[in-house]
Parts: sequence; structure tokens; C-alpha cells
Amino acid sequence: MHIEDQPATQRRQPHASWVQRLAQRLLYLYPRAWRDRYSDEVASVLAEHRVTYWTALDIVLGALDAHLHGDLLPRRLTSMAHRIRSSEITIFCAFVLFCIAWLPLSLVRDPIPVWEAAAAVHPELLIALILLGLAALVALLAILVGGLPLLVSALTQSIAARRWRLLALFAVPLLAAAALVAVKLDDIQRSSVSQSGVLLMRQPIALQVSLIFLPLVAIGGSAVAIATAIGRSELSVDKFRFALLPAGVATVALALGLLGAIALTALLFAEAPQVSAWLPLQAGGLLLMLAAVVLAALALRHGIHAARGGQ
Amino acid sequence: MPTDFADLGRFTDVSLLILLSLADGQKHGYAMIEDIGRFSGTVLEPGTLYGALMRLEKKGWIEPLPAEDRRHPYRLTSTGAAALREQLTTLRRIVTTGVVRLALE
Repeated sequence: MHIEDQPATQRRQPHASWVQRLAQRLLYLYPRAWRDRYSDEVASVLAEHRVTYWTALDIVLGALDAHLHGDLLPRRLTSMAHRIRSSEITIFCAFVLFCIAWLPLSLVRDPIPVWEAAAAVHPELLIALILLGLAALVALLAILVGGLPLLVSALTQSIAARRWRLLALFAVPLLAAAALVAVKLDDIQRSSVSQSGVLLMRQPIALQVSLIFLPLVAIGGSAVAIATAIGRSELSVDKFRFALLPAGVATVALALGLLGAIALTALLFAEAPQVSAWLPLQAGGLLLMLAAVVLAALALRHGIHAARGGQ
Repeated sequence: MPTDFADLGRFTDVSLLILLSLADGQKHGYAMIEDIGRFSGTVLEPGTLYGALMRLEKKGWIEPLPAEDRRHPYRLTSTGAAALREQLTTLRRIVTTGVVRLALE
């Protein structure tokens, strides 16, 4: 929240007096932490208040007081809505981390003939992979059920309040998707199939490596942008309370997915090491998944505690 | 949580007025200024109001609610209500003493 984003109440007074404008400017004298938390509110009060020279002096004294009492400055908002919001954003980030960590494990089916031969001998490999996929799908659906209403509300609110910086954050996933599509089209154009049916890659090695990492950057950047936008929006506590149940479902699904991933990695290691040459990378992914599940579980506990009225 | 007004310093009186204003329901900053002006005749300036709100929030006596039109309404917490009751009991004792000593009744 910043002074430069004009609140609705301020827009009701198009011809503010110069003392009023001076008082608004004097809010910059306050410490940043104070301004982040209170400046919108005080600006809206000033828009309705009969502002005098005494008001301006009072603001200067208030700014001095805020600088002298740094220990009183708000470090974070502690209302129920904000605490539940923090936990839900953390669960969303944990879900994205889980998905990124899942990528190395998805490579086990490549090449397909080797995988199919191993799965025929060890059907438990297929069961573990299906469990992992189903868990990720359930987590995705839960994130969508809980997150979409928040996303739509935050977006609508940002458009109504003309909060351009927030709208720019919402545009990040769209730009990332457009970039991915453009790169993929370029990739298809550059690649061609030879007469013998072999796919010819004509890109430089650096470009091929960047093609692997670009989706990671796009997914990560989009997740951070969405989480920041929701974090800066002011939505009602009911919406966050509603999203807590899907967040819980997503956390349980991630935990089940982790069990599937552990089983799959252990089976690959013990029974079918020929399936994947990416085993160390998969083990690293497993650790990231574990971190994501622990993070989501802690955040869920924090959110439930906040929803029950605890501090 | 402590219910002592002593550490509020020059914001003691303003804090009492704010807690009284919030005692009949949640309000945002300007609504508090209007309400306090009505029941006490005191015109609070925004710098003073938010200096006191910051302290009361820190003490856990009031709590911000989600913003409406980018203004946070505030509500009295149970600790804040207890602090207000304690302070009003003290004030009542002072008023009773004053009434008796000045033989006003």
C-alpha cells in the first residue's frame, strides 16, 4: 500500500486545498514500515477531515513520534484474515515447489520401451507412479477450488481501485505463458525430421539447455507474482476461511504424493535401476518434495490456528 | 496481556476515547474522529489518532479488520474491553470522590 495509489475516498475531493495536499505530502515523513501499514488510511481520513495548519503540524509531530518509537512500528498485520492468508500463500508456494520437484520423477517413463518392460515385471512401479500423479492432480484441483475465487476477487478489486502495480503482477503468468508458447513454436520451426525419421535438433546447445530451464523460471516467476498480488490485496476473512479447506486437501494430497514418490524412487533403486539414468536428480527432487510437504503442513497448522482465533 | 494505561504516556486520554468509541462497534479512523467529537467534544487530528492506534494495536487492545475501500476498521479485543472497564472503574471512583468533596449532590 503506497501513498501514490490514490484511495477511493481521496478521489471524492478533486479540488483539495493546498493545506490538504501539504498534509498528504507530509505523510512521507513517516518511517516506511508505518507508511506501508497506515498511509492509505490516514490519507483517506485527511480527504474527509477539515485539514488546518494544526493538522499538518500534528502529522509532523506524529512522524517524529513514529521515528522515536521504532519498536512500536508494525512489522506485519496480525489480524485473522492476514494470518490465514499467509498460510494459504505458503501452501500455494509449497504446491509449486512440489510440482517443480516432481519434474525429474516424470522422466522415468523416458524411454518408454524400457519403462514398459520394467513396469511389466514390477507392476508396483506403475502403482506408485499413478499414486503420485493422482495426488498431484487432487492437489491441483484443490488449489484451483480454493485459489480461483481469491484470484478473481483480488483481480476485480485491483481493476476497480486502479492499482496498476498489482495488475502488472497479475499479467506475469500471461506473459510467461506467451513466452513459453513463442519459444516452443520457434523450437518446432528449427527442428525438422530427416528422411530416415530421426528428429534433427538445429538449436545451439545453450538454447537447448535454456529450453529446459525456461518452464521452471516461468512457473516459479508466475507463482511468486500471483502470491505477491494476493498478499497485497485486501480480501475478506470469509474468502480466506473458505480457501482453508481446499488448502488442507491439497496438503494431504501432497503428503500422499510424497509417499508415492518415495515408493517409486525406492523401487527404481532396488528393482529397476536400468529405467532411469536420472536417479541422483530424482533423489534431489524427493528432498525438495519433502521440504514442500513439511512447509505446507506447518502453514496449514498455522492457518487452522489463526482461523480458530489464536494469535 | 497487561491492562495498564501507564505506559501510554501522552496518548493515555486519546486511547481511552478510542476504546470508548470502539466499545459500541467497529469503526475506521474517520468514523472514530466523528464519534469522539460527538460524545466528548474533542477534535482528534489524524497524526494523534494513528499514534494512539499504533500503540493500542501493539498492546493487543484493538485489532484491525480487513480493509473496506482500503481503510481498515478496528475493533475492541477482549483485553481492550477489560482495560477499558478497569479505567472506567478508576474514573468512577475519582468522580464519586469529587462529587462528595465538592458536595455536588
